[in-house]
Amino acid sequence: MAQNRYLAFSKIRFNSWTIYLVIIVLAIAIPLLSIFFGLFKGPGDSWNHIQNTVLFNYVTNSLMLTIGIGALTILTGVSTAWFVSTCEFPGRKFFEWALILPLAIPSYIIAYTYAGIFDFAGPLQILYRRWFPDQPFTFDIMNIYGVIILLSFVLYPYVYATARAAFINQSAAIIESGRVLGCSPWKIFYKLVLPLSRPAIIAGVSLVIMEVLNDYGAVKYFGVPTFTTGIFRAWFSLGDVQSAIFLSALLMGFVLLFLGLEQIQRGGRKYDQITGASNSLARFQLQGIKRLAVCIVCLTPLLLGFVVPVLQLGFWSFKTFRSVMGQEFWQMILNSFSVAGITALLSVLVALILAYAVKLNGGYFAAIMTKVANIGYAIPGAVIAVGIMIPVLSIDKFLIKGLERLTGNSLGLIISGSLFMLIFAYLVRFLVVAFNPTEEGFKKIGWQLTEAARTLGFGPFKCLVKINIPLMKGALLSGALLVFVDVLKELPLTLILRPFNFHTLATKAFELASDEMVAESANAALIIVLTGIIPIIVLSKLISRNSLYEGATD
Amino acid sequence: MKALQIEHLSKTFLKREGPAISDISLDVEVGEILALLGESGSGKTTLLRLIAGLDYPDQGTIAIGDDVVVDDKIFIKPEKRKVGLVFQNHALFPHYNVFDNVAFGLSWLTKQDKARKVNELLTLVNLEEMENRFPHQLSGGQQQRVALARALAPRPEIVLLDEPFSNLDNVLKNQVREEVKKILKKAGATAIFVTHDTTDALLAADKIALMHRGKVLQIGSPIDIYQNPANENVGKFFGKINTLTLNKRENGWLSELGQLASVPQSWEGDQLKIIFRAENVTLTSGKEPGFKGQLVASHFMGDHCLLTVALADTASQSHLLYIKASANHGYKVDSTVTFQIDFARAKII
Repeated sequence: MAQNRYLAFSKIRFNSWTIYLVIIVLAIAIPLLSIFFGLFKGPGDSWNHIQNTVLFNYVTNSLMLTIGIGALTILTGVSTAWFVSTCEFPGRKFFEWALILPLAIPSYIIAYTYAGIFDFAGPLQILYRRWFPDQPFTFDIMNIYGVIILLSFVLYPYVYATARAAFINQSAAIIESGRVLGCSPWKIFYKLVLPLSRPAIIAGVSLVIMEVLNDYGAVKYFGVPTFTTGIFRAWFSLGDVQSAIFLSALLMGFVLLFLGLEQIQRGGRKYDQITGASNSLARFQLQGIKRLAVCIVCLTPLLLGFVVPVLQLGFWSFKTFRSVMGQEFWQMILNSFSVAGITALLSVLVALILAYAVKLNGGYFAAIMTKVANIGYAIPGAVIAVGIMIPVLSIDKFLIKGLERLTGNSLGLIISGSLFMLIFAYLVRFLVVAFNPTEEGFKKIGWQLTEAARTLGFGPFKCLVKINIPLMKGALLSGALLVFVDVLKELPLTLILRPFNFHTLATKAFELASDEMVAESANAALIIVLTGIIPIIVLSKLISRNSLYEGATD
Repeated sequence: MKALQIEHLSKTFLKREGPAISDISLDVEVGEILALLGESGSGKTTLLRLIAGLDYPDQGTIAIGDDVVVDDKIFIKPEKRKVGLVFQNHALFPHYNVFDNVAFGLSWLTKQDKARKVNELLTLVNLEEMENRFPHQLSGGQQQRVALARALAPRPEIVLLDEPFSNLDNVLKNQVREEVKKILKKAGATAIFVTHDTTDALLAADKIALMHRGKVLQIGSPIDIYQNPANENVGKFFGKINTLTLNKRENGWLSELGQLASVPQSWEGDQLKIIFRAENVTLTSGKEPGFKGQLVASHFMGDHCLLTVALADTASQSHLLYIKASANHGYKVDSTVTFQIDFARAKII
């Protein structure tokens, strides 16, 4: 029997698609591998100094941020998701999709927008001085608590979206049987729905934590030292590559710790969802004070996480756009959109090859390969940047030496500081964003059409072109859209890897804000935010399309 | 001439217990329709997928026409095997119309030849006017005929059909079964279809291969396999089956029914186990000689009644026999019935 299995394995599992699969996975693994092997060179010169002075701060700050933001986003995300999914109150339909909007605002933009609002020249202090001319304004948000609260306002939608999807997918039968058995709404929530939705909620929180650990702009702006700011400091200020590698490895350790915890809490458990039959659920009808309270709970995060910052950005843009608009600004938009566009196309292409190769090969090998290829989103941008920069720099040195010998001329850096490197880094980080909808698309079509086409004489590649791609245009498009927006928002990775003098909307906005030109930075920020709204609307449509509750309201 | 030859084919799935297919050998003649009959999990669909090249066997050889497509060293990809496949849910390409679906496997033909060929096939399956429709605009039966035309188009050596009649309601099923058989015969195609429904197999196939737990229990013509089942399991598949154990005594045979008189002379041995069908037992009026039993249940089946009878002999009261009786036999449950067995139709196993 063992021999048979070996035979089956050797005979089939390898074809040209297996090779594509392995190449893609190896390429995606480069940053992690280079950090891992970089560790063997030992710590850098300033490591002792870092260890004795700031490392403890990095650890405690990163921990406080993840715990604080984790808790706040669960509170906000789960409560709003529950109200929107099961209660009836004014504006519910609007809140359903609007509550995701804060996701369009990158963490660094919310940080400096609120810094501007609370600034001496900002609207709050002006009002305060008018009303209380005698008392000094002592409220300060430029600290770790400020970061925790502000980031929670823009990151809670991750929890909201996963929790809501879980609430929707849970059969109405569960909630209804709870009601028939005489449970109060509150008891139904914490006895039935919450335990069943826990894996989804934790999955949402782990996305939040990945974003927190990835953040560079907000903590830098608010002066809260964390691992990412530490990596930047070691790399740029201290010029200590090895210390940057060590910090990256530690940060990766943090990430893996949280990913591990997420896996453990799931414990391989799968909650079977009762699907089908039940079509609509009678919502809890709220009256009086409860109704008002629920409205306020849903309105607050939307106001503070989206409406206020967008209004402020709009106001600033209105004041400054004449001085900012110009050749340089358009060039920057072109830069941003073309890098994002190219990355989006490439990601979808690679995701397509990856997902198709997995389908063709099947088995554990392919499944493991996919896991590896999709780990990029968990790696903070700064870590990916360091992990790519190191091998590229040494390749460049090698190339330059070789060319010098050949031509006698000294040439500048070739790959490092090129757009190629930047786009490759984006690809590593955002591949999974394109992969998930692509895989969904394959699932939706099913595999039989491909098999049918193959028995009719079409090879795997022709099947992909003739059958799968035409049928999953929508999925591919939404994957590309998501990657596009993610690249547009991306900051830390772009800051490290961009070519000299190459500005994107994100880097320019951050640079202007850091140079005390917050109002001028608002133009670029506003474009990022407004572009970011598009996929959010598309996505929320996708979520509510399979809503159980549609029948009850339409 | 053989269209398909399978020898010692085996396949085990990693995640499942026991082999899906275990040491199967069978042949299909050109122009023949073979039914793979078995309950779900018996390996019939796996066998179909192995023939099509959509799965990889652990062992064995498959030859389609004159070409070996699978053995120890060879594995011909599905697109290179001359096999047509009709899926259970038809798997029509939703973004192509009927014409393009049928023409899909004819890419090497010129435009005119393609049009001629597709029209020929659509005429064959009675869908002449439908070529511009899209799959979602067709009924289930029409979709199936398109799928059949698509599979027949490249003139495959063999057409495989996966549960072709299982998605249809009973009225439609009879009609579609007839149609599909007629189309296959008209096209002169060799075909294998998978089914779990004995009626499908008996009515549509030239030959039936009965599968159970990855093995073929018996292959034969519908009449043969119904009347001469190789064992109790095969027999059970086509309706209720009766069993008796016979012991040789000096003056004849002794069974659960007591002494047996009218047993064929040719039977030999110390102990025999025989099987016979419910229709080989007939009720008799009390005056004629016969066996006695107590009626336990009578199931009205429309054109007949299936009786369950407990034997009168106290030693074998738990032994039940099934009798096919007329619809209005008139006996009440718990009453005593007498019956005769046509031992000439019984089979020793």
